[in-house]
Amino acid sequence: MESISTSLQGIVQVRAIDRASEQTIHACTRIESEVLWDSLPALRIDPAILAQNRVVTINRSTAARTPFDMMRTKILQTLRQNNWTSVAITSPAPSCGKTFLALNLAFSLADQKDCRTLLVDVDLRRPQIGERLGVTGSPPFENFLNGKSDINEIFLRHDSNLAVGVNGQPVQFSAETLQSPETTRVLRELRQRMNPDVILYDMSSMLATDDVIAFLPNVDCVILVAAAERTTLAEVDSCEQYLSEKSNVLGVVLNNCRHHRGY
Amino acid sequence: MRDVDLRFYISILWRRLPYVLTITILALAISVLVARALPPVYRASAKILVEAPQIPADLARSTVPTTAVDQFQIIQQQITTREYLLALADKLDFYGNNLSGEKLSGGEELSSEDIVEDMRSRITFEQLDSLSAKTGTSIFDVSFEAGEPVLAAKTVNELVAMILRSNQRQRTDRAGDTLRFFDREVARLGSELNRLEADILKFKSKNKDTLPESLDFRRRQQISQQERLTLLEREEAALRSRRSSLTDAYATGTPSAVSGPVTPEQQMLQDLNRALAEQLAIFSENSPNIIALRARIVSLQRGLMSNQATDTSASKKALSGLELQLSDTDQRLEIIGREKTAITQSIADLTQSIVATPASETALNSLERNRLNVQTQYNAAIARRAEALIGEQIELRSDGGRFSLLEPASPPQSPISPKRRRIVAIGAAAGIGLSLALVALLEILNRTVRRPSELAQLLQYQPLATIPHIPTPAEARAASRKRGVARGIAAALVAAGIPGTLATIHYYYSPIDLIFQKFISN
Repeated sequence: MESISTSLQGIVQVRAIDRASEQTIHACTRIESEVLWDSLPALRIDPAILAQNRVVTINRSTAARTPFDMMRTKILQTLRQNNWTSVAITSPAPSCGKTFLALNLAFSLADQKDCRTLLVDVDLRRPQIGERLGVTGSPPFENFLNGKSDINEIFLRHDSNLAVGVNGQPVQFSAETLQSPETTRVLRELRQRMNPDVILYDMSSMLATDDVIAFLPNVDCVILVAAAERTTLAEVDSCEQYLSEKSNVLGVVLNNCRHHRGY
Repeated sequence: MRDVDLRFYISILWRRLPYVLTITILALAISVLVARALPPVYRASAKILVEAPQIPADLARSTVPTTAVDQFQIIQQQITTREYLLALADKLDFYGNNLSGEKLSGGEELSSEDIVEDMRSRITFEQLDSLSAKTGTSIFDVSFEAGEPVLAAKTVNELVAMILRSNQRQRTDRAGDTLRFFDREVARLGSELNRLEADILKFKSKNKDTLPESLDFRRRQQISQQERLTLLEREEAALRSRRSSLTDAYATGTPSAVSGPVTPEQQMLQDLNRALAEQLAIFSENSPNIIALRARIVSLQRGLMSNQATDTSASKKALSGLELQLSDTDQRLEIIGREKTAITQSIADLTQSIVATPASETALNSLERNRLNVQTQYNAAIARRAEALIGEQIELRSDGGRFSLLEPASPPQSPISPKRRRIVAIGAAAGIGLSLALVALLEILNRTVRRPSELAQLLQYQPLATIPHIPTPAEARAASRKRGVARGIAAALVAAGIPGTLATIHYYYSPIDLIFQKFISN
């Protein structure tokens, strides 16, 4: 009995120590991520450029942001339910408004103060986020994925809870880069260190390249963007089927729709 | 949902408006060109009144049995015959000088086939309305289409004149034919009748003795002849008895009637002779009574003979008187005999003729019957001829089912075709229809996603979000500018349109102030 009780106490103690150490580690990582977040260079945005690029969610009071806010809330709920963090944004064909959606969603998430958001441009062939934000002279993102560059060299901070990973230079072998184990590792490390609630990956289109297929193992779920009057139903159907087989489809977004009045 | 759909379709239409407008305007332009390019066609028409007979049929009947409407159709067929049409085209020089509307390519000669076909296509006969089915009165409309109003009217009038002429001619011909037929019939029957009557006369003159009508007379004659014969026989008997008595008287010497009274001996002798005659009737020749009587008679005769011999002188005188009387009597007898033979012959003849009468009566009856039949026919023919004469008179004075020109053709004011407005309207409608069809086709062929509902239908769950079109500030400004321009144009159109409409009404429909007054008075 004695021995049992002492061993139990031992276990309890060990547990307590574990918990303490866990808490310590947790606190450490939190502190580290806080430090890391603070160390990120600030993103200077020009509202005129953003407006020119149809980014509406930086305005607090505009009716145009409503659908993005609703989508943000839905996404957050789903992520919390499933304990997911990373969301890839893709579309069947190019220029369906992936980057547009990613930026608007990112700024909408940034208004949610208790939520940290990362926006990463992994459309390595045609990086657009930097351009859209009016950011120039950013280093190539490939360096980060190879582990040559550090987080705070690549990411820019907006407010206190949105970090944007801008790609300054297109990558030649994008699919190979994206499916290399190094990339997987770098992204895991990024998640650990930044400790974000949501990571948005702005990706290339599905039917043009194999980048998405290559990158799918690194994400928890996917948003498929369909552009009204450009994307055919067949494209949406095939892409959605593929994605739901290989990953989780968070939903399909119909973009640039002129025949829709509210819900 | 329906509301959304409607808006959706309207927005699609709005987006495809360039197509719609282009196609519609093109179609309009083409239709306007076509309407302008088509040669004008003028139609002139005349109305012909086809009347029922003027004189009631129960008073006098026309002898043309076809109704006027049938007649008209017959004439219509005649008019559309090849020869007539060719003649008409030739007469009016229809294809000679290139009239507008008949421009021939390269001045090539039209074949007569084509001419006939063309003419037929231009002529229309139309029964406007039957005024009454019973009387068969109706109005026909004859119209002709040509490139020139005057020509059209001229042709129609030509046609109408032809129709009227032909109708009149036909009807009078028919009536005349009928009359001629009955004339011939009457003549034929008359000659037949004459022949039969001659036959009868011949028969009668041939069998005049056995004719039934003289039968009674002959019978009477026969009877009177027979009576006369009996009379003659009686007279003859009387004469004979007298003669015998005379001779007897002479022989007995006691001229009974001539030579005075009879002597007692003679008287006795006569009595005895009488008794003998009576006794002979009862008794046989050799009965004693008879023998006795004979003996007495003989003795008496001897006595008488002796007495006569005594009176020779007296008897001589008596003999000459007797001679005279006897010859006279003989003469009479001879005459009577002759007469008797004559009468007997005549009776035999009469009897024979009477016997032969029924046969000749039968023959005569059959002849008479024939004559009577022919007579009846003849009478009927005469009556019909009278009717036919009346009918011909009716037709000659065109009181039968007649055609009359109700309204001659006059050169039309405006061409009937091309109906420019209609062509343009049809063109516009076709353009709009075509463009709508094209839009519909495009929409059908367009397999892109357009509405969230389509996505929901495909995926079986609602899309995560639907992002409306978000314009850049520049686009927003452009759109508002566009809207402003559109509003301005609309306002200008309305502002220009109201006075324009009013002006149009005023100048083309009826003056505004009149309309206004009417409106007020209403």
